[in-house]
Amino acid sequence: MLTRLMNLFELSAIIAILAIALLLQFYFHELPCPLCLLQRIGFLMIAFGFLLNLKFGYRPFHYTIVLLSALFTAFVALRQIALHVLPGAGAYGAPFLGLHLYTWSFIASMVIIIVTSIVLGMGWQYHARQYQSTLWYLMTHLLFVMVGLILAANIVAVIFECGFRVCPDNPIKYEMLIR
Amino acid sequence: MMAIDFIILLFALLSAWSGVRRLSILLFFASFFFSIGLFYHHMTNTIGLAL
Repeated sequence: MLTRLMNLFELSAIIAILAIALLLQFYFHELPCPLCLLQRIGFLMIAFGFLLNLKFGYRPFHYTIVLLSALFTAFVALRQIALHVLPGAGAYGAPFLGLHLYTWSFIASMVIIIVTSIVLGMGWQYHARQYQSTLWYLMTHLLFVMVGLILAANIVAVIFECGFRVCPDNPIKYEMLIR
Repeated sequence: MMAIDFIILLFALLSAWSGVRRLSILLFFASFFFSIGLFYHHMTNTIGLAL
């Protein structure tokens, strides 16, 4: 039960992070840079690992997917922090609760790595009979729909922003909308 | 290019949802290595190489 709740908690946190990113993009008109988009992909890949756990049962390999994806996200976020760390180098986007989104992204990735490493070590989850109630079954489908919708929204946004080309380093407009 | 990466991940998600675990994991790794490639491209782009 504890591992199930931890999976659900981490997945909900990722959905919240991605929803905030989309809100900032569409409501506050902050266009995501290529590294920001890679961090979004990283979070979606983490969510994919947790969804595999919910759909197919708990397996160490699913946690491997989560950890690899979280490491990737942390690395990309750290790269972006490094780009803006020097005084006078400026920053990308407006701060959120005092920190920039890429800094939050790095913190969230590190928290996910630590929590997932702890959950991975809880051996009983792999041997226990993985009973699924109807409520849990419905919740799994709901979470698949939510992550799928976020992914679809990102695809539409990316196509409008960069088309199928490489995204510009410092995007200022949606390439497909304004010529 | 980034859109292709997202689309591969969407297919991975859809195949996992429909119960095809092996295909979904294969698509996940396709998306994962594609992302690493894009990251490498943008990292080298900063120093003017864009490999």
